[in-house]
Amino acid sequence: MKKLILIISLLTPWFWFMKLPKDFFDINLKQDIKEARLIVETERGKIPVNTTNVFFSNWPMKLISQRLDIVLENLDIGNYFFSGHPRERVGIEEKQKFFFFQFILLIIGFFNMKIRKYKKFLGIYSVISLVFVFIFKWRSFYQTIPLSIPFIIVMALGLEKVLKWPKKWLVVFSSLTFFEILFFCLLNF
Amino acid sequence: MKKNLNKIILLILIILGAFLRLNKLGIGGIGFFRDEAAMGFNTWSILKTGKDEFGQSFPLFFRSFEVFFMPAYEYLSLPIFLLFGPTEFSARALSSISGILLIFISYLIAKEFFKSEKIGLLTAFVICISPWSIFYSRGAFEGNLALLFFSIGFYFWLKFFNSNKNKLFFISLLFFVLSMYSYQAPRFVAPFFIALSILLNKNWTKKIKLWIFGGIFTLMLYLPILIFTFSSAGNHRALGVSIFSSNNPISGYNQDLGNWQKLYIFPKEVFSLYLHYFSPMNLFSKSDYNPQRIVPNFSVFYLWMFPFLVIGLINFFKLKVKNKKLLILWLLISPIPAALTRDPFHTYRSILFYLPLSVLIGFGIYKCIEHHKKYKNIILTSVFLLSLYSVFSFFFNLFKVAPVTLWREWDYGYKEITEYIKEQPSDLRVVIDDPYTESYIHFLFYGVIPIEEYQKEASLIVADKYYKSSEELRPVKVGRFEFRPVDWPSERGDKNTLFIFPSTRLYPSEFIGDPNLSLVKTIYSLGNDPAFYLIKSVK
Repeated sequence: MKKLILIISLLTPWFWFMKLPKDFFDINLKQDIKEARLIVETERGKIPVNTTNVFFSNWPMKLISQRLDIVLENLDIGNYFFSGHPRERVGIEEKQKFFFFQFILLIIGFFNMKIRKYKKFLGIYSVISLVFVFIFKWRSFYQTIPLSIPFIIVMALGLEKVLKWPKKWLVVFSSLTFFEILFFCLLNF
Repeated sequence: MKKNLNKIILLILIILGAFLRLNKLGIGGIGFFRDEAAMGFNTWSILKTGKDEFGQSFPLFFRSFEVFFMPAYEYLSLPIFLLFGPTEFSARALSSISGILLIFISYLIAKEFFKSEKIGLLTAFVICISPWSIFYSRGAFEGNLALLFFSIGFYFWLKFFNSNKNKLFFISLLFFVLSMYSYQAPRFVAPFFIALSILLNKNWTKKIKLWIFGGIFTLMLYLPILIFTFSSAGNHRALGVSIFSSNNPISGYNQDLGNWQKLYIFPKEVFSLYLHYFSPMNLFSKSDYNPQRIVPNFSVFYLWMFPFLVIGLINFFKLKVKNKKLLILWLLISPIPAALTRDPFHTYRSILFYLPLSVLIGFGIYKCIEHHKKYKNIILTSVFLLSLYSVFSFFFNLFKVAPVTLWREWDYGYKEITEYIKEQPSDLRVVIDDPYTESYIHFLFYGVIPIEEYQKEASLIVADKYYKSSEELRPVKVGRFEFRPVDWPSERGDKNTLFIFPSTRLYPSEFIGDPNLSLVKTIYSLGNDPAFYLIKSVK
């Protein structure tokens, strides 16, 4: 399993372009509150003043919903496998973090019974990292690198299954992998 | 007693759903979009003259601007227009009725699928309060009608697979075809769903005769539309918005590098767009990227429904239930038509997708209660309180925020303009500054331009190209009305003319102070921004 995890890690483009982020634990709550207040004030400024405005449009809610948006953004599976595609058009930075063949490995990995062994770790790790995403607003390619761990473990479980496939299917899968890496390199280097 | 209680709860949900969908449906608010006006006017025109705006008798596709609408919405709206006349309420009512009936159908689907009345009620509750269902039931959206027909078709399909009664098979096909007469997306989803659910059935070859009869029955019902497949009316919409169209180049594609890239980029793009429909970010937070299809601060579902969807999904895959694959098929196929178009997350084209998701949310709430029976009351109270706050907040944003922020996207102001014009002398020339020349439909809908007069002009231009061409074919001048871009420096001196300018097209400094011009009216949006300037030349 360790070897498989290493292979998957080596094949992951996320690590190829990795720089050590300096803003992992940056937090500026004052600034965030200021921004949330400004958004709410702008919104409220346009509508007739009454008590419901405060109830349905207020800065603490805005502050939380902005952070939850980032959590949900990180839960978008497409964010990990594509780049320059729909999300990028609407202002979300999108850099390909994994290959498409790794997506197949991820799906297969979920059906590997050995996943039960890692269930607790995967669950707790994912929840903790999402809490960090919520607090420190991790969005960028570099900041979100800790989120790669659960993916890599499940992909390794998928690879373990794939390696047991009949030879002809293994050749098909290896060819897909080879050509995808080749296309990616031709477009990026 | 328990059965009666369930019936009462269902009735309460339907009444609540009707209130949320019909309350203030046709009055004031955000505006009245041109597509709504087009569908409404064409229905009215058919009712009055037997012809649409282009003078086409009882068309099979409704030509509207440069696109074609499927005909069911217009024809089924005829009795509503007969009762209420050409009003915003009439145009939107059929969609609202579809949304209300959907609450009941979703209950039947979930009840039949899970064999549980409780899950049926919870699903009906989710549909009743969901932002997507309320939003699409409060505008003239023919997709909502298509969803209703598709859901009825699915219900009978499910019953047929559970009971093997051939009668149910044909009833189901009838409703699937009706959904294909209502909106573009089911034209792809319904046949694909039917074919796959038959082929995935282990013993499908045993009923080959039935499938053949079903195929012939469907073809006969669908033939009137099918014969237009290769004309603009039949395929223009699909080709026009497809990512494979040369008009919609995809990002990342570099022509200098050659066509080989398409092998890599196209499948990736399609798959990326497809997965975008499963994104929690889109479903629970960001929503549609077209401001005309959103309620500010809300998405397809409420954020608190997300954990229930996850619970529902996990338990659904563990569940052993007959014909489980049918719901999975619906879930997987329904976003495909939208994913093949360029828009990143188009909630309207993917409207069929949200019902199975709602079923899963309802199932998730049920499972959550079942797993934690001790906390049943706490969970139910929390869901109730969250729903209450969410619905109030949704309507606050719909009634208070949207009208002041999104009025432009909803063509606000044309009703007020037409009311002013009706008070003016009938020989006054009216020039509307409109580069897209689409505003004419509002003047038709509100009865300022006589129907016959417009039909006469439009039919001459369209001639025999009604179904064949997707070119811009419409008159820019009908009687005393003109719809076109105004060349202000050269036209500002025209006598006996009322110029209508959107506030974004003319600065006040360009007409204030001119003794030959008089600003007779400014139409203000609900946010107090100027929407239109009505400028009259002084005789």
